[in-house]
Amino acid sequence: MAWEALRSNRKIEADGALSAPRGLTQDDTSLLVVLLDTNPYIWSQRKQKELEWSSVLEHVFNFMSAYRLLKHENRLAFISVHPGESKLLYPGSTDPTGTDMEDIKNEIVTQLNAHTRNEELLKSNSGWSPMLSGALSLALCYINRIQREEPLIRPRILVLHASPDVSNQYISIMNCIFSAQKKSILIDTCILGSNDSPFLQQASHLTGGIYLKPSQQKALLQYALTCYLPDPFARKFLSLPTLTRVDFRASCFCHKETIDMGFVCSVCLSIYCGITLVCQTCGTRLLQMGTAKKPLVKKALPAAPK
Amino acid sequence: MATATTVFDYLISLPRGTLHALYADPWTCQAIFRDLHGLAKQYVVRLMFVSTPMSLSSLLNWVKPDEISQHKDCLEKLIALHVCEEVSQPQGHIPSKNPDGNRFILLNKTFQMKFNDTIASANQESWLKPLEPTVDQKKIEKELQEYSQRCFDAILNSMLNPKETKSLHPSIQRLVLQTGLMEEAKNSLHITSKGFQFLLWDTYTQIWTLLLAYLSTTENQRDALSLIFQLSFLKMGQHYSTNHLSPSHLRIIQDLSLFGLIYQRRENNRTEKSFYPTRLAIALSSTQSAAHNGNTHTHTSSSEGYIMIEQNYRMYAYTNSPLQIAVLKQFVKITYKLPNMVMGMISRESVRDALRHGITANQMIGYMRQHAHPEMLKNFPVVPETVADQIRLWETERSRIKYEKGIYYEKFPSPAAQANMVEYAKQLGVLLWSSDAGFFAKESDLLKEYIKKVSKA
Repeated sequence: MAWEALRSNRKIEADGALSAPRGLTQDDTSLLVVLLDTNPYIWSQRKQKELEWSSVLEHVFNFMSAYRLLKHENRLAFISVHPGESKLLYPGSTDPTGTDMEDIKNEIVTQLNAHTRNEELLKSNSGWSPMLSGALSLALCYINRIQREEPLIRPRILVLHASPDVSNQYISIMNCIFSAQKKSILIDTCILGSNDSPFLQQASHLTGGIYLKPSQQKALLQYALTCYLPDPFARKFLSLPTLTRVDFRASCFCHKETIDMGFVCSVCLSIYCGITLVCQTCGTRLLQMGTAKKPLVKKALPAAPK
Repeated sequence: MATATTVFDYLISLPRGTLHALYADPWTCQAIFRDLHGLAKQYVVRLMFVSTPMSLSSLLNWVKPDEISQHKDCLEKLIALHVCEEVSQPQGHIPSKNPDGNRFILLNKTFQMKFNDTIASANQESWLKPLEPTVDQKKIEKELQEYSQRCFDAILNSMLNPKETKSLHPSIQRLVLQTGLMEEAKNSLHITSKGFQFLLWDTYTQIWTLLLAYLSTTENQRDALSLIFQLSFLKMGQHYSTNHLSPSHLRIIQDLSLFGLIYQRRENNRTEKSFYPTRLAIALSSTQSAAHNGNTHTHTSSSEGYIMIEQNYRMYAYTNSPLQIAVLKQFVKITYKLPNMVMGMISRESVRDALRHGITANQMIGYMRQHAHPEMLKNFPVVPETVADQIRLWETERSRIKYEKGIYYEKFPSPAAQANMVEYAKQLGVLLWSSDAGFFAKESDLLKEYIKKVSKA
């Protein structure tokens, strides 16, 4: 407990650990970025056993309030994953420190309403696919900014997603995942739709986060409090769900389709579903004229373990 | 009178009924929750929706197998605080061989309810209502900062200067006597070795030490505790009306203003009385590291560093506060005093003086780190290694001689008997030293009997 750990903490600090690359301590301040899928098409098509939009929102708010309770200094951000646009809804204009949960809720709900009513967005582009990659990059940029202000903060991302994966976002999502991995930002994911998401499975797997597809969505809050609430310090002790099967299948760069087997450029490692003469990414000529019989590189991609 | 050292020890020492009554206040629940161990917090949250008793053995599944000791510590603490309570076995439970399988726990009903409300953001209304601001926010924050600093520094200062002790408020005098920070001798107060150590602690620990002593003297502990916990959730720079406070609360507010936790501003044109919480009060519920890391949200009064240490044991302190200089004087030999800074040397003598007063090496190094100048904070380690190591060496230097009480045995009937006795003493683990002439051992009844037996034979 904080008061009790005081004496022992002081001993550790006395050894110069304060400015060292620190291990996890229970005094860490964390920054949680919540990404919520706000695709109106998906939420209007909920099946019977699945949770309604309004209750999902309520559960998420309660989870956020529990998170804020953990520590006075804990910081929070909320990003909506909307078709065509993702937006940082909180913290918006108001001062992020010392606001009540009630104020945060109101701000997010007002912004959400304004956002979802904006039908032009829906008409304009990209159809019904929500901008997950955009939201992830937005989250990473925001985290990067906060980390400059407070280098000691421990960031993590929670993605609540209901829409199916969009394979043409594969490259950008993977790039986000690798950036997160590099900055050791955990990505926790919660799938509220009917199908697993291979992209998010990989995201959690590579960053050390938790991937969960709740079988009983009514207990979403309980799932969230049990699995996603613990900070990296508490996760050291708790036994939390792990992924046993990860779908590692990649999408090809030419038609953005998920493939089991493909062709890989020997220079830049771009993936193609068929034989290409010139790599579209790096421009390398892959096949010599006249010797077109054998493809230069053919590599089996790791197939999904069954 | 012995006082609890941490607020948790103090809470644990309270009777069950008082704790239950305390948990009726949602703010107290929140404050206690925030200061639990990181793992214990997760347990409280996990148990929040549970209404059927859970056996301790089933809770074991929550942790990784290697971390069971941590798990048990956390649960014990929760049970001691009555946040979790042991309940009787549910009906139809088959007694298991494992004793933990027969112990069932649940979250304290009151705590559970209040905590649930908090998460669902229901009944969040604080009973302290903020009033419309009357003065400029920046101005009042500055005023609060100065006020709390002045109050708290006055307490620390008077501990160091016996002349100023008289100016201390009698109730604070009583507190420092009670906590054993000062003692009375020859009609005046003198600082004790505990008092010297106290000066080197961070502000957060200092305040809690005084507050705990204060709590043990007040009649209405419950009101005082819930008020203190509530204070830490108030907003900086806002003032709160005292009109609807009970008389006991009003008295506590008066007392707390002596510590600099609360500021009562004199405003002539207002009929309604109000008070402002200061940073010291708001930092009470945030963890101690945040309070002095210079975190943007919770600056405590001492967060601006001023000490620079060089590898050659020279110390430059950019300060003119008599208190800070006096504290430094405990372990640094001050050589120059300039208008904006003092310069000194850390020497064997100065450190040994401090050690003699009961200040440990880690406390000195910790103090230097905590108040390190921003420029020095860029170094790693903050305090030069040579200096830190040397201070520790000077500390261990003092413990070269170890005292042990024992008995010296000599004049044995035969060398063989002596060898047997030494061997036996070694087995008992009481042998301290031996030579051909005799041996020295800690007192032990078994050894005595054996020696008697051998000597008679």
